[in-house]
Amino acid sequence: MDELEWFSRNAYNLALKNTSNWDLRSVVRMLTACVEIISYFPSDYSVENMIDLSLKMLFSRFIISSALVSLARVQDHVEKRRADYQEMRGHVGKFDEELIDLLVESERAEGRHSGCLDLQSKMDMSRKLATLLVFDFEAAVALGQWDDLGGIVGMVKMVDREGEKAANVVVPFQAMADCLLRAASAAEGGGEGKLPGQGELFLSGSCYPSLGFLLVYPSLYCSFFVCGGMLTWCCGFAITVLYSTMRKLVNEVWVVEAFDAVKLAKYTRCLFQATLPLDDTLAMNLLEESCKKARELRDVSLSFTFYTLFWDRRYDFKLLRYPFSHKSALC
Amino acid sequence: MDGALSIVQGMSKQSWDDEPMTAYLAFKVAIRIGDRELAERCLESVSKTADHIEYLGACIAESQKAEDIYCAISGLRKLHGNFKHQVPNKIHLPALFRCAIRLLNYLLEEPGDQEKKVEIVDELCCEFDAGEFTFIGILLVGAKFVEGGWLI
Repeated sequence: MDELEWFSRNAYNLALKNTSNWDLRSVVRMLTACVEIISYFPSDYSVENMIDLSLKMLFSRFIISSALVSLARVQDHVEKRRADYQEMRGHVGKFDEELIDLLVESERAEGRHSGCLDLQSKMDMSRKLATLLVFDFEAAVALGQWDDLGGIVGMVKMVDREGEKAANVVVPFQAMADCLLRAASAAEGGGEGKLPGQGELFLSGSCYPSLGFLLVYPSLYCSFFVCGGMLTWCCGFAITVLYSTMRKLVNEVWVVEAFDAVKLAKYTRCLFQATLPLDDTLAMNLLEESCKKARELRDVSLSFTFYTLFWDRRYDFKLLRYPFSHKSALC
Repeated sequence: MDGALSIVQGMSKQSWDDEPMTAYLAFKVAIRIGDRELAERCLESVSKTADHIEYLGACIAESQKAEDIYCAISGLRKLHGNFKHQVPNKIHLPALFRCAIRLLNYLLEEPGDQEKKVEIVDELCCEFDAGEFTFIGILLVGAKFVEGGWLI
């Protein structure tokens, strides 16, 4: 046991001491070795030591994930970037599992009045988990793992942020919304924009002509293959996922900042702007919901602010171009 | 020392291969005159013999006495390279890694060339990576190590 302690402690200390002067990949390697060595400790090791080791492991995974996301963002080589994001996702998943185990163990220890986790550490770990989930979201977008986006938003919602200010609680949702908007605006530009950091996009320039086709025949999303076939299908699928995930995020921000109509109008407008060129039906559904939300605002002045921030003369021109039946929502 | 060096350089390769004592003595000469290339050749010869553990241990001790950290680390690496998972074992593998890690850390903290330091950091990471697999090996061999009081 002394050997395991020596190696895990020294790997951890060396990495932490040299985070600013070593290459990030070396820091990742060292902390990965630390995490692997800690995993060899038996589960029936003393409770106090296990809590200390668990915290060390969680902190190591946090630094590894932060380092990997930094490396991925500046990586030009596509496969290496994907590998970094994928590895980071693995660490975030493990962080979540290990935090749950630690909190369960801590609750058991509270009953024994020994070896439980203090409140400060619990809050710190919760904040770290929220941060990591934002990175996880970014990685899922970069890797095109759309199915996971809704789940990640749900997990952020479940993180215990009791006692924190609303402005802090809403930050992860804003960051994820920002990530989605960048991805959506890149899609609108036909593949010329950027995902977080550099990199290629989930939609390439070759499918841009197909987007025009889809706007006229939206019902053909799932089955139509046009110049770059699979990418066209991916376009349709990704747009729907983008929209539904963005709505979840805007709803979460609405719950936390229900009385800040100015901010809410801005987020909703961004979503509307991003969605309108890609799918007018989804965009106008959003407009109807937004009008409903504005009417729910009891304060008349806030309601007026919502409408004026949301509306823009540019929309008049765009709306006239699309054949739809939702113009009544504008009234 | 010049005389000793000329004798070493005059010896044929074969006279080293089966004679670890010859290689060890040549190593002592190499360490004293600071000839790392010759020292590395001696370590290579010693590591191939049947009694390599004792002779490599002696070479490492000699290197540390002469404060040649690089030769000491090279000796430790050769010991690790020849390690076989068996019980009983003359080598305490975690201690071997600890020595290598301490020596590498000492080199890192000394002022020196930045490029060289990058290599040392890489070697340090390799030691911890290799150390991690040591534990897998030790756990696989299992309870017999309890008798040695090494780990669990």
